[in-house]
Amino acid sequence: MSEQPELKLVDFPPAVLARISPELSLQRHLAIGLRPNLRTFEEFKTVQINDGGLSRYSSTNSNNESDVLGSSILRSGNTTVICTIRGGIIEEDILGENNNEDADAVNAIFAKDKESIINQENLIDSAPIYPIVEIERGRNGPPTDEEMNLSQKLYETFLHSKILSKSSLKVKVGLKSKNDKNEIEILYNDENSEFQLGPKRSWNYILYCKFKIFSRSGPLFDLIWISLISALKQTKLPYAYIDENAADIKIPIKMTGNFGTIREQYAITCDDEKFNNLILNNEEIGYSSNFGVISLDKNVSNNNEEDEKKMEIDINDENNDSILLVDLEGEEEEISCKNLINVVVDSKGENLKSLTLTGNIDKSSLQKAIDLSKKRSKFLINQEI
Amino acid sequence: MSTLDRRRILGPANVKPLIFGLSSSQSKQENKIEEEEEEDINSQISKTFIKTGLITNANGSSYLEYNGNIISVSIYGPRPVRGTFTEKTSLDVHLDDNTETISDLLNKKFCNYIENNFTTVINLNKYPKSGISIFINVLSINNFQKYKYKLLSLISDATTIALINSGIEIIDIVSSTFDLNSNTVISFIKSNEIVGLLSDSNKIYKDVNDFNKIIKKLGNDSNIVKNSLINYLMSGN
Repeated sequence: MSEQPELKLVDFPPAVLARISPELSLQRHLAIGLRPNLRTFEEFKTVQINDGGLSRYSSTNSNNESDVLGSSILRSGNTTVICTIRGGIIEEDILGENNNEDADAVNAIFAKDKESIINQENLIDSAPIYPIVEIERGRNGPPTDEEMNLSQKLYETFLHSKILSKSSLKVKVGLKSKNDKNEIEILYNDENSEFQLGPKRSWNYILYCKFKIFSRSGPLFDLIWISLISALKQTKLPYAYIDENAADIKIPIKMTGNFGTIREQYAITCDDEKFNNLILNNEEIGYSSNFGVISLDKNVSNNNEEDEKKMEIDINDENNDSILLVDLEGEEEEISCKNLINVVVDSKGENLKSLTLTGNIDKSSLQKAIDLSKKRSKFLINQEI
Repeated sequence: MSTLDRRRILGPANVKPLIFGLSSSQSKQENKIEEEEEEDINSQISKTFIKTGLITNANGSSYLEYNGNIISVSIYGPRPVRGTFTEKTSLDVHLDDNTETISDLLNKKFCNYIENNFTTVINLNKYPKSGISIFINVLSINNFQKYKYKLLSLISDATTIALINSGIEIIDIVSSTFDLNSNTVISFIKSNEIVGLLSDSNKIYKDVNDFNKIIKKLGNDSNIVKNSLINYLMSGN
């Protein structure tokens, strides 16, 4: 009995092929005009979002002691993004000239050069938000490169988009005091016009946002951007007051012949009931889209041509070896697509807020990407998520 | 948090956290209702929402919501560990508190409790040279000061469900219950074996019988919890 050694063809199920040869798997899909995630080339992933009920102001939250000011939970495919917004209060630096008669002399030495002030001028009214991104992947330790890059990009894009102005983060401070009947009441500037509390100092809110991401399946910037915007739209800022007992204490001190005063830190407490909506510059709000440009491998498509002749392949005629894929998802697309575009537009879709290009991208793909992202942003705005 | 952390964008250093004024009388009434409800395990179960398998890149996961507490547990493993051969699986538990209310000490305590619970329950010998990681995410907490061990019992239940979802072999379903008066959480298997106990009461027990009563009461409750967990698992969700 002699057996001929036989080379058997091994069949892999799609999931295994995607693992061992992502490029080939992707090319085979593209050759028949589909993507591994079964979307077409220019089809975005759907996004579902709600407020998540994590905020203390949320109507569905039974827990009104939380210090979360706004929240959102986003789901897109299997990916879940949880965004929570928290706050802090910071005392604004008082300009020397308001406080100090010798300001001119001090400024002559310490004040910044005018040139550097001009450079910053564009951003002077724009308030930042401080993001922390955590992607759950079953490991502990310091943040990964991706997490750090996302935080940095989010911080910069947010600041330069001018979505939040500093004026909307001002704390209008009230005063907690006892009235004639010995009852405790809190006086705010807007309710009582006679009441004029005039602290020389002023305070601002600082906003932090934290993202928890589960089941990552593709580039995340678009998703965290949507969830940030949605959470900010729900965000409320509490009223705040100073307790009369703790307000404005000056303690004179004398030290080696110099007289001075120590000013007591104001203890600011937030009102547990009253709040204002956070005001955003709505016309600046647009959404983000990501794209990958991939060139079609002719060998793979030729092999399949006989079987798939009737399939319509949606490829740009002028440039028929490169394909624009929107909203990348899955290992195959992420590994194979080295040429990436990310676009953030404003609300009208006229201006770009951010544009990131990586790799070798031709003009027509870029133009198409920008057009698509404008449409996408409009669609999301109309959806009012 | 250290301000010298260059890996994260932490913002200015001199920021003060928001402190909210005392809550009004309305919430006190609510507290009373909650306390009554704490005695009624059946009504608690009917208010609990559980879902498994939401996190796709973990080996198993569960999501549990009860009365303003939201917990998500994901299990990674058994996966290979580096180093020399080990006969048993090593188990590690991480708790990430998204609400920033659990102190580091309590976090450690909670992790230890869960780890001790499940080291006895998971069939560790079946998975040599590997590790199992349990990641607990606490997304929302209701009245932590009073109900901190309630939260722990919920975490324990969520972990059991997540372990079952991951297909890791366990001896029995761990069901945990909480007693408000004595501030005690106990985890049971096989209806009467205790695998974990944590009590933090101000009261001093006069004799052992007092504590026996609590154990008996919680044991009964835990059977009800266990049955409902089994019902959930059998319903094929």
